[in-house]
Amino acid sequence: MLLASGAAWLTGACSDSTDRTQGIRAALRFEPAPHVGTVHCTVALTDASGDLAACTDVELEATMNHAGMVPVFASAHPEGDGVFTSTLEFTMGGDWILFVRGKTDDGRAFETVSDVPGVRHLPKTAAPDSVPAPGPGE
Amino acid sequence: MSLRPSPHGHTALPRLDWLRLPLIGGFLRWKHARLGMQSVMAVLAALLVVEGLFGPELAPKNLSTLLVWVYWRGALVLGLLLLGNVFCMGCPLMLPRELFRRIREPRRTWPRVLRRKWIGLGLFALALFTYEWLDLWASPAATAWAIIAYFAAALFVDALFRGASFCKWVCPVGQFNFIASTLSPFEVKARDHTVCQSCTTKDCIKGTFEAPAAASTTAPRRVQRGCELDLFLPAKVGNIDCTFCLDCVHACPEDNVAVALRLPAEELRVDPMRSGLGRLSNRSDLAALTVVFAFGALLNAFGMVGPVYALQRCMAARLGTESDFVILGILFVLGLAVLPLITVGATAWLADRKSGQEPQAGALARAFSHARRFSFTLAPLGFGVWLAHYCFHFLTGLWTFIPVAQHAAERHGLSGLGRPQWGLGGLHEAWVWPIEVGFVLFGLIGSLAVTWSLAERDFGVHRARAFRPWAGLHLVYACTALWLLAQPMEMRGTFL
Repeated sequence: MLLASGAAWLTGACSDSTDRTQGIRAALRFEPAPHVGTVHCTVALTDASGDLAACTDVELEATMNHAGMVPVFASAHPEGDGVFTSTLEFTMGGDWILFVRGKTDDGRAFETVSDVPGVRHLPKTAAPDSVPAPGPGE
Repeated sequence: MSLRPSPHGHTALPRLDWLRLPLIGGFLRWKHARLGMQSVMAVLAALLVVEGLFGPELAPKNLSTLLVWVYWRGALVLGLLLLGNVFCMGCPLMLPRELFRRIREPRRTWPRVLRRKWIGLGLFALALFTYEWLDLWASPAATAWAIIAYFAAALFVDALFRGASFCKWVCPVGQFNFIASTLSPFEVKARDHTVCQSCTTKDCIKGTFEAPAAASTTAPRRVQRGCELDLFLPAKVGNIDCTFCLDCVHACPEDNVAVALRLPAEELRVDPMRSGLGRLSNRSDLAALTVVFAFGALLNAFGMVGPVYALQRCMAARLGTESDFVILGILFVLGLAVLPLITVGATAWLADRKSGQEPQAGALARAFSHARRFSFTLAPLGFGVWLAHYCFHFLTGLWTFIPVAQHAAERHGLSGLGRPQWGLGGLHEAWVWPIEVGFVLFGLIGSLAVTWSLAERDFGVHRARAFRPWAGLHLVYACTALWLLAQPMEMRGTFL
């Protein structure tokens, strides 16, 4: 029974690191540049061949990799041709991780992971430019 | 009621004794109470190891990182503030050694040359460094391996050496707890010293032995051990080196042990001969441990704010290296050795000069002795900063265990806890800020009070002159801590 429980735990754990992208890649663009506060995010989803992928039920989860972090969730609105827009609230400075989840056109659930490094606290007078996040990550 | 300490550090306070409380007293007097607490903690530790190694890789979704770095650290300092050294009391690390010692008793005693806190101090500094270098807060697997390594080290040391060698000389968490518990409101102490004066068996230190059969030639069997940390209760002063194991409570045939209310930091205001420790004023190792405890608190808080990253980038550019190990190593040497040596050394030298001492041969040795005596005044401030920092994480993440536990249950097919409510956080930072300020001020007041007591004791009419430089150091320290804690939190370097 102990062995079975251990095996079940291991199986459950291993599934955590499996590829859940379904071949989907997410390219992110932020307006203004990622900073603490509200940021508009444009997500372009492409399939394995690099074409824009028609996906549905897309949502974003932004979090940081430290214990006790409360993640930020936002739904994404379709703008057509695999492009989605959303509004995110970065609550802390530092390195963020952005999950994009949704369903492919044939109903498979996918999840991509991108890094959003160096989110900064802005001085009150600063007017950040629009900068893309440094490439999609898996 | 006078709050002036007696030479032994016992101010008259209302009698409140854990062992006399209903339910709690009964539980603590139960011989297997500690084993029960350790067993619960050991099971929890085992689950954290499994979760850390096989659970989600993302730290905020893993119970191992969350419970260790947010909840355990918060509970640890709050326990020390409100009660005493309660983590050592239920420490699960001692459980494997208890089992091992049922098979084989160690015969060696801890080497005399190592009977100082230098190893513990070094490991404490190494633990702080490793936490930053390996981003332990961001790595469930590294957290799990840290737990495993800790258990292995404790078992290794205590399998080789008798008594509580690991607790007293090695354990970095224990050393942290020993210094922090000088600020705790409860202390294990003799209830009535006159009872101890008439005691001939000294069970509290030697243990309790079974009466041998009349014709037996074998040595009497010990049925209850005494203090394994060499604290003889009638001469025990304060909480340093006390793990609240309550062996003395179970050993004392006169029921003369109390876990009693006392004035926090009182033990720092006096310098009697202490059992198992000697005089604090002669203990360079304990003074150094206190200084590292205090400056480590600042360095640990510095590691989570924006300015540290700017400094690291600057250092990387100037040194032409991007090695975290090198840059953090330099920062730690500066923060835990160079800066304390300069500030504490200069303060001691200045206080010594200002207090009417003429410059002469041996002035350096006198300043060193002064620094050794007054270094202990940093303990309240250091504890205040540790409290502020750990309570920030604890309180701002107060409810985060709920979604993480729901997520863990969901992963293993248990739907009873419902869908993870990821929006649950904790108190808003704006509410926690006054609490942080309060802890730092609490530490500052404690440090100033202890400094004044020591200045009165050592410098008599020149006490104010000796007090001022140390008060200046404490104020600078407190302002630095408040500035650090006021910085918005930033988390970097977790992609490396």
